[in-house]
Amino acid sequence: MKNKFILLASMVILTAIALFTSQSCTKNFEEINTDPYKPNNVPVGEEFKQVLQNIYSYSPAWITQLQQNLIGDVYSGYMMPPTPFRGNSNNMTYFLVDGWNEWPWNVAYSNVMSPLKRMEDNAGANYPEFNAWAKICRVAAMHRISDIYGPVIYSKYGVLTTAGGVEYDCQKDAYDLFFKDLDSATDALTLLVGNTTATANIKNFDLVYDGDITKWVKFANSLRLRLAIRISKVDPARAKIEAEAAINHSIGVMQDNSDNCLVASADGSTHPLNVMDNAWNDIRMGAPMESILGGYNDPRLAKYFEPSVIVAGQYKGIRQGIAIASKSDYEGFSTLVDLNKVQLMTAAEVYFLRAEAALRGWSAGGSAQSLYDQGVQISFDQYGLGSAAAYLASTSAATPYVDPVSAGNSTGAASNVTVKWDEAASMDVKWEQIVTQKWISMYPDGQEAWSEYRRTGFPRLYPVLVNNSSGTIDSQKGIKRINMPAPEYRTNKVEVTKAVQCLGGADNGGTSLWWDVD
Amino acid sequence: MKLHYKWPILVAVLLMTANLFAQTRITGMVTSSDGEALVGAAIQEVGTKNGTTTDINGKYAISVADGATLRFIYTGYASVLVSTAGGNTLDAVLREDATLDEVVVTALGISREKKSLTYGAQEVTSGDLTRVKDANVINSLSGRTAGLQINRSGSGVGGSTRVVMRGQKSTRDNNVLYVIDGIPMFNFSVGQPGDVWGQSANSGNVGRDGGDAISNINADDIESITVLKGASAAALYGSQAANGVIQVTTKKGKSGTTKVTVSSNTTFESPALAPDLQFSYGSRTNENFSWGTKGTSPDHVKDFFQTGATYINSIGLSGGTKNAQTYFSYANTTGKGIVPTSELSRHNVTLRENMSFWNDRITVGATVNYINQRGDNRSVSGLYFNPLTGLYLFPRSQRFDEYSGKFEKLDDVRKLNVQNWVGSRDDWQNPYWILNRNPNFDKRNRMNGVVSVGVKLTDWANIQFRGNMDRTNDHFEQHSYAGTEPTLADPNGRFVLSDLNTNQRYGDILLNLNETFGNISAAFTAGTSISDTKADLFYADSKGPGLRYANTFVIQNIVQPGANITQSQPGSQRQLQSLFGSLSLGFKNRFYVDVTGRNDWSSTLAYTGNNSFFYPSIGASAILSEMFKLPGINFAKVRASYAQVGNGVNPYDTNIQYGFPASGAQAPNVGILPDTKVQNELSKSFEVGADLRFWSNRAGLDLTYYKTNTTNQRIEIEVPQGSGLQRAIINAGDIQNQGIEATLTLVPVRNSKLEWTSNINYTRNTNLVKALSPLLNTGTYILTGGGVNNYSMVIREGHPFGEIGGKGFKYIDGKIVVDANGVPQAGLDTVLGNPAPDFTLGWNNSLKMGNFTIGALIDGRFGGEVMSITQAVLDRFGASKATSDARDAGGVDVAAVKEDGTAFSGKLDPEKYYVAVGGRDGITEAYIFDGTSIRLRELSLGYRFPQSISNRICKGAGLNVSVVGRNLIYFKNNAPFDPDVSMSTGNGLQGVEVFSAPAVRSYGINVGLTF
Repeated sequence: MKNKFILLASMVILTAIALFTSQSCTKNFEEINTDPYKPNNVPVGEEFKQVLQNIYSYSPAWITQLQQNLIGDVYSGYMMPPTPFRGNSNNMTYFLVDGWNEWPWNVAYSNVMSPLKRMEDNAGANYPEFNAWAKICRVAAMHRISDIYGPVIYSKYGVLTTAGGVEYDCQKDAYDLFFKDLDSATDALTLLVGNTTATANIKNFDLVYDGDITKWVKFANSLRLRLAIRISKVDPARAKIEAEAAINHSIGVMQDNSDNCLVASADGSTHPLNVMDNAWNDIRMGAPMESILGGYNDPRLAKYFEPSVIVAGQYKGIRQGIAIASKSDYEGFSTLVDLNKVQLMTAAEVYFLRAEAALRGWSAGGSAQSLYDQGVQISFDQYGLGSAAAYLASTSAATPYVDPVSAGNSTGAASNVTVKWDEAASMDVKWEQIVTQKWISMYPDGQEAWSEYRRTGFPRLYPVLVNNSSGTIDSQKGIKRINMPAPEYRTNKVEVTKAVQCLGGADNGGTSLWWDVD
Repeated sequence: MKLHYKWPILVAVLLMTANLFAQTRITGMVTSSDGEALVGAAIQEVGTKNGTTTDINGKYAISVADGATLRFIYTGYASVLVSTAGGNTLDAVLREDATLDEVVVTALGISREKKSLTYGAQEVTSGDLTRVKDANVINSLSGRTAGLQINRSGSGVGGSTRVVMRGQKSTRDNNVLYVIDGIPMFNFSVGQPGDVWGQSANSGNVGRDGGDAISNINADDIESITVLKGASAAALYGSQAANGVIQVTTKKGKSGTTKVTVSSNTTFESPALAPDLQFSYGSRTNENFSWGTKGTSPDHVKDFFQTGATYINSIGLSGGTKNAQTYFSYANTTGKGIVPTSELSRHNVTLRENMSFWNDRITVGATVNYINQRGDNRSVSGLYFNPLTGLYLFPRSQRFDEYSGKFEKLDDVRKLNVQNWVGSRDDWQNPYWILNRNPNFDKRNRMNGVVSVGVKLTDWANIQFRGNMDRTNDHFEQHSYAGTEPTLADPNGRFVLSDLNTNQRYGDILLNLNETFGNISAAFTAGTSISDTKADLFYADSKGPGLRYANTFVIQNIVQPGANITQSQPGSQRQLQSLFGSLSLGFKNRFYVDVTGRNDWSSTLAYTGNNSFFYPSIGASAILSEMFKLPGINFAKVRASYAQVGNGVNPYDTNIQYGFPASGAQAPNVGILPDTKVQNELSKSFEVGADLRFWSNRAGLDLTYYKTNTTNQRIEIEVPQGSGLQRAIINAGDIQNQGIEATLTLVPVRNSKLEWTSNINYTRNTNLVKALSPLLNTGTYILTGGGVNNYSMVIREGHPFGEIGGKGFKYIDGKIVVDANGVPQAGLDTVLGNPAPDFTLGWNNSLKMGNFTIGALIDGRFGGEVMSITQAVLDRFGASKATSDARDAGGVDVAAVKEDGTAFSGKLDPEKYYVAVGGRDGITEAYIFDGTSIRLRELSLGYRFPQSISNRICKGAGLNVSVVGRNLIYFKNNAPFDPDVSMSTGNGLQGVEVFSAPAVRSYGINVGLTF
């Protein structure tokens, strides 16, 4: 009996101890299973630094190279790599490399959409300034993505369908949402101008305007104007409404160079173009820059590029889409002048946008000519070049392009428009002047310049000579977009297939985007 | 249950009361067949109750009737009958008897009679582990057990070992769980290589092997190792048990006079399987390759390797009283690798105390282990920081001695010495520069303490409390001097520092009940345990920002600390709490039934809403020989069991936090989709087996068939980026392993002069990935990514786990396609082979002739495919013998066709062929080899000095000397390297060799002295 008692007692004790330890301690499990070496209790808003560094990716440079440099920077005529990547069968010769071209998408979703959603999930409605700021950043990033591919995932971001996919917005719908988001963001921020708490909150993470809410409103309005002008051909009525709403907003659009949207590095990284240019020798000046800026005797040429080695003392650019046998053939062309901050938008661009609005007869706060002239002067100011008066009186035009390596690539000037404004000239000539000057002023943002080139056809660029697109891209019309990212076909096939239908054409580089109409 | 050991002896002693009719006094000594004195062996006069036991020296004295017969009895040994007619001195030699009443240590350290087990378990005793010593004792299990696949790492002496039991099951980790004296050990291993470059996976960090935790154990401290095969045997370890358990039982002090064991082991190593190189064709001007004209170049490779040496010296002291016993040991391991400057030094100190109080009512045991280890320039695998690439690839007809003697030269501008080498490539450097100017070292300090308290409640009930703390610090540094290849270091050099602290705390309470009710014996165990393991790593790497001053390797010298510096502190912690119980019932010693259950609560499942999992097992066995008269069969048992066990998820998988927001590429957004519940991997396992003994117990056959299906693999799938994630963790898959294990034990010859015992282990495992996730849109799960190299390791549905991927030839009608110039054309990325062997066979022999013992272990792995990137790169460079043979023969003789399908006439130009096919990124299909390897793994010749001689050292002393060898003969080895050597002990990088140090042949001498 005694033994049985001991047995019973010990079992009871043991079970009690066991249950006690097991049940009482599991409440620490969540704490134990939280990585102590990951950011915990990060201040709400910290994510903005990551976002601002990735609308145009700051580092590593190879990501920027794939995000923008080997797409928009080349297709805009600004730059061209001397390197015959993949045996010269690559984006430059219209063989669209899927492994490269998914990167604008990857960066936008990993480093902009994802942190912004996290920030919103954390902050909720407590921080109206952050919610408004997030909308601006999101449009700034995602319109670039839409302008590359067309359809984007925007309104349904983070929402899985029952089949595990994520629905797209057609570009037309995405632009509508961009305008609405910018409208509500400017409304919200305008109310917060002068609010010290909101200012301080933004200032903590602001790599652009140091917490100046007014400047963020100006940027948002300018962005709205940019997008309005973008749809001016496909939907002129809506474009006019949006453009005038931006220009006539109480705070308005960018006025001078202190309003420019220039992103500082958060951690001392250098501008990624400097790495591609200097360390890798993978990017050089583009042929149109040589022809147009050279022909105009534009003093900004020396601010953008270094004289070449291949023809000593001269600026030489490489023509896009040519046969390149060896990198060394073209390495000696003009390199880039080192860049500092990442430039997302300038006041000069805004003047040219307004000039175009005025040209279309909208209320733009000035005549097309006066806005055009101001745009050039502001751009000169940006580079410390003094008065642009003489330049604005110049009647010189683009010069023929000469390729010192391979004469077959040489060609005449693509246009004869001049700098000097002639009020008597045709609408088309004035339009070309405005867009050409905007193109010069926007350097090095090739993504935006390529979008405007597709919309307007200006400045006139040289067609590719080597076209590896298997007939999907017309050499004369040029590349119209990038096909949808390959990972989407692996992971989101049903939805991406649906999204392609709103393109109105095949998913390749020859299909025009919604706003790109003749 | 410990009592099982002593019961027969006690019974025997109790039965023998002093016999008053004794007439002759017999004296003698009882030894084991190894020559060890057997302490406490019982000697019984047959037909009487007269008996005695041996003393601490194995000596006995007994007075018996004239002509009486004595029976010598010792647990675990076959008893022997000897007549006393021969004289007054009678020495007896007892043989270990694995067939009868053998007791094995099972899960949680519970001893059980082997015949009652319902699952497979195989024991390896200390003699087998120390006969031909290896600095990592686990390597000594190779060929000795069925069901294990053992691959040693390429890092040389004291490196980690990959041990996979009954096939690969997990997408994360397939290594067995080690349990030391009942306590699971956290067998961390540091930074294994993760890619062909030899870097740790996806990090750019140095991939290295500093030895795992089990490699630190002093082999002389081990009493035995029990391999608990399969899920049922290990079921009491629940969510840790899926990969099987290797249970290590260590030595304790024994009561009686002090016994000292001294063991000294010296072995020398030389390369056994080095690549075949050419030294005839030279290099062209300004080329790094050896595709030039024929001539002669000196063999600069043979002088590079040195004779390696390993010295393992240990001393053990054991002694104590009935109530307190002490075991103390010290071991010193010193190793010198075949690659110059590669060294290992290790000190092990163990102190173990066991005490009992109040008539054994309370027993207290405490063990303290201290391990101090330092490794210098351990051999690396991969293309980076590897002296062997530059050595093997050095352009022939250039003078190697200009670089070997002078690996650095003064840079006039920088005013410091920089590397002197023939050409700049990321995958090679001056070998002597690497050894002297890219040196690395690792230091380990490990302290392990165990305390246990047993309380005997009644004769049939006891409670045991155990606690353990195991702390390890691993410190690693690599100092790359200015002048190191720019891909690997900045202009002022590179400093890498890694400091890892691991800490395991474990505690358990066990209640054991043993009682017999008539024909029914019952053993019940219930318990609870908690374990908490934590690892904290500090890692700093100057690569990127660089060093301020050249060649100063301290953190302060890293430029911009905190900006671009790769400096990280990943840590991980997991806690496991458990309740478990087992009930074993025996009926008439004929039928046995086992039921176990364990419930685990795991911290790694926090946030899932369900952190509790239950793991049951059930098994039954029947001793047929007790029930039926089976002619010619001494013992026959059949058994069957079923179990469910798990493999816990990684810390933080259920709670993924984002990295630090900053510029640049973020770590991919890995997370969990809203509808996913992360779970442990689950293995459901069934096995049946039979155990047969016949030929007077001289032959035994142990057969097992098993089938395991493992589900809920951790799989990362790519998801639409619009979901908010890039990759998501899901549980999916069904990986099936089934196989046969057979162990045949044989004593072909047994007489007074010679005893030959032989043991054959056969293992055949068939693996099939029955299902992966349908969400895995490529249908393939990647264990090792190929990247720019044409080796990868993948899992595909409908195929075996872990296949080698690479680049294939392009074929038309089975012939390779070449272009007009005879250049082979690459085909598709494809799966090229499966490195797992079809079956393995081990044949272990022991011959005893008087004082001589010969041991021979032959084992083989048959089938499977392996890849040699070394051969591919050597061929690309024209440095291999294959390329010179082809050039001598006027071309590569393969049947080839042109693109249009017409035959290519003539031989293929060797340079064109090998440049296209060779290299890390060539057509790697050409570098797949049959993985069959058969070798004489161990050979030993031992001599036990007669007592008359050893007595001169010290009375009662025992002295053994043996000559030993390992890997002496490869009877067959089809690959140009040893497929036993694995580049990583992780999941990936299996079946591939990338400039690993050659496998070694070792030979040496063991001296053992006991007094």
